[in-house]
Amino acid sequence: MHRKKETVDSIVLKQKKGVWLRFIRVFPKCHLPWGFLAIYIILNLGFVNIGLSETDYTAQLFAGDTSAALLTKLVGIIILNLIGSNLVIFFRQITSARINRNMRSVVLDQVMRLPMSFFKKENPREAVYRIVSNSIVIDSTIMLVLLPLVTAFYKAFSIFGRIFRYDWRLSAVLIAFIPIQFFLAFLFGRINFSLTEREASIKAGLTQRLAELVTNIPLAKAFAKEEREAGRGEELTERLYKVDIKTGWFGQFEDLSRTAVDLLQSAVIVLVGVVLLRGEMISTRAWIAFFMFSSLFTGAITEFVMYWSNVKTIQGGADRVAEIMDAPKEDQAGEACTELTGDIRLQEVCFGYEEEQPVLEGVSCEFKDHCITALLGASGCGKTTLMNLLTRLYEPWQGAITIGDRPVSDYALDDYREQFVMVSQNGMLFSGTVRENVCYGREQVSQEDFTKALVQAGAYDFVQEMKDGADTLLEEYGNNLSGGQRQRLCVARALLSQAHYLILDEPAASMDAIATAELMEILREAARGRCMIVIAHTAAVLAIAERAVILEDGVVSAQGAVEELMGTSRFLREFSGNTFKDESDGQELAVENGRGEQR
Amino acid sequence: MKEQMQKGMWKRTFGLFRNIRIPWQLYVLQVVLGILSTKVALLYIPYETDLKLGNIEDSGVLWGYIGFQMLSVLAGIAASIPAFYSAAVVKRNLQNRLIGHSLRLPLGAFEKNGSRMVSWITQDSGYAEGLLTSLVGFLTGMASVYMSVAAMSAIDVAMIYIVPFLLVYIVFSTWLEGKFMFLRERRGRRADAELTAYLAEHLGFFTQIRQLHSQKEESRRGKEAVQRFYQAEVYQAVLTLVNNFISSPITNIITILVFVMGVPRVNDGSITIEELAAFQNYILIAYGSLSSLPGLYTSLMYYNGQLFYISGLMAEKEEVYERNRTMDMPDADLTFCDVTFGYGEKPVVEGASFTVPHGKTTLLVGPNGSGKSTLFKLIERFYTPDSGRICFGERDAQEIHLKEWRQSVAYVLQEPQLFDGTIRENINYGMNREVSQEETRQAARMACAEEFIQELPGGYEFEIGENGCRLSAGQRQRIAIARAVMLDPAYLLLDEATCNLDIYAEMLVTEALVKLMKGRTTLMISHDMKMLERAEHVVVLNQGRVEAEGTREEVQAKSEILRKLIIAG
Repeated sequence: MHRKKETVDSIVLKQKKGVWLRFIRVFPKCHLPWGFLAIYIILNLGFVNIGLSETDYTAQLFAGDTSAALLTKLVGIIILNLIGSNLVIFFRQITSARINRNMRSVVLDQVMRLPMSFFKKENPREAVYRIVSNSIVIDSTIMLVLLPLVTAFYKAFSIFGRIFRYDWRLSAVLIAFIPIQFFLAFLFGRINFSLTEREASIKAGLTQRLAELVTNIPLAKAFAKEEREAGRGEELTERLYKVDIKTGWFGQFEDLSRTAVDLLQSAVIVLVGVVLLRGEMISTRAWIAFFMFSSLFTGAITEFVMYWSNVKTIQGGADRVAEIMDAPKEDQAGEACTELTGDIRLQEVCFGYEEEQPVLEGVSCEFKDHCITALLGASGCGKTTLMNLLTRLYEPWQGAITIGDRPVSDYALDDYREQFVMVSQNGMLFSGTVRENVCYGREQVSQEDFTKALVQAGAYDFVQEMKDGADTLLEEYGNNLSGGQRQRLCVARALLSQAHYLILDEPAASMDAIATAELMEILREAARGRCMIVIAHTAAVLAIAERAVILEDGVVSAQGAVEELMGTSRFLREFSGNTFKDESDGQELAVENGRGEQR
Repeated sequence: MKEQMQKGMWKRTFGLFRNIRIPWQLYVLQVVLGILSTKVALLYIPYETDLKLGNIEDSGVLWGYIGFQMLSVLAGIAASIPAFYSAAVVKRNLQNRLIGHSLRLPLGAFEKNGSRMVSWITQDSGYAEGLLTSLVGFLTGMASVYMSVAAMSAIDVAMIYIVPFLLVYIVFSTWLEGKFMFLRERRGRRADAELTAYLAEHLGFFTQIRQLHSQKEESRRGKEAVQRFYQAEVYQAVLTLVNNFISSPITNIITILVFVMGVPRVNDGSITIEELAAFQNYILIAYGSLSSLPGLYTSLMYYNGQLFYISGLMAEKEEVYERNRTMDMPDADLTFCDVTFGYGEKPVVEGASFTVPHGKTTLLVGPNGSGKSTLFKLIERFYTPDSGRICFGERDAQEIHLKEWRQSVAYVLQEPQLFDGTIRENINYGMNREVSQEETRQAARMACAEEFIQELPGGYEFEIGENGCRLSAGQRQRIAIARAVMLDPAYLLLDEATCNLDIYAEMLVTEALVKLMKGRTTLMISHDMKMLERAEHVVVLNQGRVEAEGTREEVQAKSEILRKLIIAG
């Protein structure tokens, strides 16, 4: 049992080494405010000595020097120290703020340029959020680990120097204590860490279950299970209580162990002092100074150990930031393209988000230019994935994607994506005005173009009816609009872009039949002169689509003109028989996307 | 007026403790032990002073020093044992009370606060204890000031005048610190909220940022938010600097005062240097305690803020479960008589009157936002109509015991709510008795779920994950249906139970539903116009009003919106 734990520890240690190496390499990339850091370090170290002089003078006072000159010096140095320590805090805060600002900006830039494949299993939303919050880890490393370590070391060294000036034997005692102190501090730190760590994870689990219980209250009410849930709640809180008590006792143990070390140490120091004083080997004044400095010295050593243990707490975050900063950005090389036109062809395209789990297993199909093509299939069959490949959010494992007979990978990524505009299932609307939302991502939009887009998207009327027209503020995620209205604003935004290829992912999601029919007419208009692909798992789209591609089990089971397919494809017949359905497949699509933005 | 509000706030906060058991004996113990440890610390000072001044020839000093130091550590530890016990007890008791209370709150309270309630109950409940602890701190603080001042006056009465000066200064600086803290926190919270909101909202659309090729714009906007956050931090740092110059140097001022006043007195022989050193130690102890006194007010205000939400939650009224009648009447029609209801000022349902005939399938149709789901919540009695009545036969539904009522109604939603647990636990959830394996199987079979359950690893013991995330949407829905089958309810409410499914899953779920609906009073919401053929009774809802009611042919003739829906579909 014991051995097993050790091996686990050594693995952790090994991983840690890699992490730190990688982490150090990140430093040059983060635009650190070197000037501020330098000032902070100089101030910090400078005032260590002034603090020590205060102790020196106090020792002289207590040794019996009550002259006015000493008193003046002492008062002066106390005031100086006071100003200094506040300035140090001030510079620390400013420096931290600058480090964090620079770091957040750098990480944000980096994240925006990461390829989607970076996020593998994770939902990018959470990943990105966590990454940006984690970026303060650089500051924590510098301010909570590196600099304090330097300061603590310098402090210990200076104190040691001063004591050495009084008597070398005293300093020898302190030196002898260093290894013991380190050993004890690490030992107790280790024990406490493993004890509290375990309790903390038990506690996190219990809290999670309690949270779930609270979340499920509406369910409990609907099934009239209030008493049962209250009982389960009491069980959980009782267990949490026991963990709290246990942690409390561990805390006591920690306090006791720490003070035991302190006690032992001061006892030995005093004993040595007594011997030296009685043998008249040192003066009373040297003893007073030694006694005062020795507690400062042990304090500095304890600090050293403490800051070192901070390393553990920031390790996870450091790992993540290092990974992000090290990751290669999306490749921007390639031929510039301004106006891309032509049929889109996919040949034997294979792709999956995870190895050995292909979502698309050899897809070959065609999306003709100047034509509305419906991309149909059951939920989870890979429709959205296919479009993600087309817009080069991911690279296919195998197979070719061409537009007008040229492979799409020939073109520079940014230019290429400009040729596409995609309207997602839950369109991106954010808090801001209608105009900001519609013109999002465009630099300059004339009033004329703006109005035209609104009219074309069938959004003009309801926007006019809003309180401040196009300057009405939308709530977060456009919550103050209906699903249909949100979708129309997203269509308007898409129309503003001059992109030739228009992709709509389940545009009629969460709309009723009437609204869906209206939207389809709008789309028919919008598609003029463009190439439009509409992803759907309901039949409403067949009202406007000229062609269809049917995806089943990762391959294209049929494609062609809609009228022809009606005769030949069993899938399409069943599909259109299901004419009245008009809602989206929220959950399953999230699984399909793997990374879909479901709110 | 403002004062009254303040008073109400305090009443509300302390109201939290009204219905929970508080371990008073532990708090008394804390006060006693707290005073004891101060006493020990004071007794220890003469020994420390001797050491500091080098009077260590006498070995009694050495052993006294070590002995008292040990004693003071032990006393401190002894005082903190009842402290963590009481904290854990109060937290547990409060959590239990909060959970029980939340379970009995009307659903509206939950919809309003939803996810935040989780953190209130799991996190904020831990703060309540701080309110009691700060009272304990105040009492021990008082005692310790008294004791240390007594020790100081034994040394030199003339210098004791530093203490009242100190008190005034502490009160002033605490007040000032409060002001600064407020300014700092306000700016800080705002900037923090802004940055978090930006990150949460914009980065949430990560894929779409790509698709709209707006990485550059997002980078820019993000940096602006980051820059504003930075400016707020600088502002905070400046405030902290000013504040620290005024309120942090108290210990330094004490040291200066003691030396400036004391050294001349040492020189003229009124006190010895030993006494001066001891005096400095005593006054630092006194300062520690003194500063905790005005801290009571600050910490009360702090905890008042922390407990604002849970005390508000506690103040909300629970649902009345006990009513006048039991549900033992024969099956009857459910009738809405002129029911009006809204969540805010705007009514969602206006003067709705219609009947859900017993034993039949009734279809509720209407465009999005016409109030269909709200009607369901009214039937479940999660909300009470603002006006009008919902009747069960001849009786007002309000008269019937709430629990019995809800047990006789099963609700299958568009998004089924399942909990993290096994399939068996989820299917059996509504039952109040032991359920045999065969019964669970039977229910699963009825819900067309048995086949897929058997294919899962562990079968009925398969853990479905949070909200059933390890199952597909169709599978989740069938588990929810099996759960409803198990209940064997008199009334069945189906809210778009098939709309999240693709056609294959839908076929299976529909088959399961048809079995479940047979011979049961069913009210269903559906966008699927095919359901019109299944329904024996149809109610058309438009903008909160009932537009038509009757058989399929009747409503089709009467309702324009229905005709539109049919054509559009």
